[in-house]
Amino acid sequence: MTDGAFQDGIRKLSDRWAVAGRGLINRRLEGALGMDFLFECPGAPAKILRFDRDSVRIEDPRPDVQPHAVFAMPLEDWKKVFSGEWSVMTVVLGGRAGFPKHHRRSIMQLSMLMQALFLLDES
Amino acid sequence: MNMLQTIEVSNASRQLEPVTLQYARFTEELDYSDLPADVATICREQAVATIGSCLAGTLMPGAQSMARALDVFGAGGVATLFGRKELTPAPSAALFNAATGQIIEWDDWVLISHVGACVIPTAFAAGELVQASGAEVLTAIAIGNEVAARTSRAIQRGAYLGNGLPNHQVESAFVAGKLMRLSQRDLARSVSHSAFMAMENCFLGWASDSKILVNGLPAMWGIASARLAQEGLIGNLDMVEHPAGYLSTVSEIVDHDELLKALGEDWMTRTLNTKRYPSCAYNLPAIECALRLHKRLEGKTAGIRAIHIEAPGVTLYVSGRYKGFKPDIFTKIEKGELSHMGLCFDAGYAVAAALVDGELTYRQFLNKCIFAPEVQRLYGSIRYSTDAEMQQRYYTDYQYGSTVRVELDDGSVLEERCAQLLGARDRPFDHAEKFREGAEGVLSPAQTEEALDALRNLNSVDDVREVTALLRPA
Repeated sequence: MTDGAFQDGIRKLSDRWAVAGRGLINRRLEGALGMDFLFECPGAPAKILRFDRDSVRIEDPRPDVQPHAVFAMPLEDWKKVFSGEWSVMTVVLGGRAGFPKHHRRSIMQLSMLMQALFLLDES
Repeated sequence: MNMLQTIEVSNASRQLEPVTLQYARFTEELDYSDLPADVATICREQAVATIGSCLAGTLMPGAQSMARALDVFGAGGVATLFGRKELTPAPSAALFNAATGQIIEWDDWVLISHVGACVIPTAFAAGELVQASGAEVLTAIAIGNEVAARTSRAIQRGAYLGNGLPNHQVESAFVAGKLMRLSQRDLARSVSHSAFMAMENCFLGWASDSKILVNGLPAMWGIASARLAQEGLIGNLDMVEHPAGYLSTVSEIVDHDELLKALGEDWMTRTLNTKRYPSCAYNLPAIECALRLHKRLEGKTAGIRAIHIEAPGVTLYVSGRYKGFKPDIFTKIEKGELSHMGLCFDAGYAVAAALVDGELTYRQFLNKCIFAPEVQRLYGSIRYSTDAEMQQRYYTDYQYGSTVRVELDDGSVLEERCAQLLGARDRPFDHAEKFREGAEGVLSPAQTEEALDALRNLNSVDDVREVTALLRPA
């Protein structure tokens, strides 16, 4: 159940990004591009996501490669994020996800882009 | 030695311009007569609007706490706390006035830097300290705007947004140092002292009254730093631009090319945006929509069953940041664990309050409104969606847009759309409105008009204290 909801969310993110990501990106948010983001949820296999302007590459984590930023939170919070109701930063400020200084620019910028993407009307 | 020689940066194989010293020379040499007439007028109007916000801010509980606490900085008052009777040391006044200028997020910004709530309090407090003329104060304000605009643009690709951009430790020292008539070298030194302890704000604190320190501490410390330099305390002359200096410490990305671009030629002060309503700038068009809807509904909100806000992604992101607390933000406010501050960034809260009350003032950030059942009901009925076109218009041309739609129990739908906020550079309003609204309940109507008139003639007074005396309740 956990696995399915988390993977579905990642797939939704990837699909939406391919359709609308380019329209949301701009120079001030490009810190989210070209970086490896580790998405983690307890009970589900973690994934590495790398965003470019038109697509998201999804891979399994490799022990010899450090991600540029980590998004790790409980499934309950991931559901809010994948619905667009919350951004990842909402969970960070709720104290349930990390925000290390060397990740913060990437976290903030992708956080904003993801929420904008999930709140686009699907028409 | 040429004080403006370029700095070799061996590991980057490039030369960085001596930004700190260029800013210092600009600051030292600029005279009121050098300001284009419209720039001088904008600075004066910026003071009118900012002081209006400060006056309203004094009515918030947090401001009263701060006023009581200022005695820790000692006596020897020379500077005015806008809207209060007492005089305090200049750094204390700068701290207080910067805090009240933002306690309900009723501030302004030049380019992307929320500068007025730092520069105006610093300039007035330092101006009172040295008994500067009104023209000197206005010149210092212009310097603050020009420097802040450029430093903010240089770090805009880093992690911080808007008022969070940690650049004010630069301009506050120049503003204070200008009024203290420091030399170019001492101005650069003052920035070194001001910026050495590089103040980044903790994102968490934006939901409590701690946030009012975001401009307050740089304002206070800028004055202290200028005074330290004035007495010969030696500081670095390249603190702004150095790879191990201030901007590189506070931001992951520094676009050095922005720092000196057209300084003294292209006046960024002209990009001033002033908020007509207290709230995060991203929320202002939605607030305007809500106020129009209140009128259309003649204040009868009971029939609203749902509200839909469409806006750029950044508006929705900022609005939603404080929704993940457990217990929720309202419970924490009720228990005194957070203040109203987080609600200043929540477009949904602002829309609900404006729909119910037909206004958005400091009163909507007091508990009486926050916990009003109808405000809470409407707040719970809001959904949000991204307007991709508005997103692009924001990032390409700083257009702040929103649409607010209300669905009524009878099935009808009312909609208001606002493509740009009131108070934007391309959609100005009369700042006297803001001053009068802010002064209500703080200064008498007669004193309000007298003070407004004095501020609008600030350039002609020999001693700024003639004006600040009118900003203390009789």
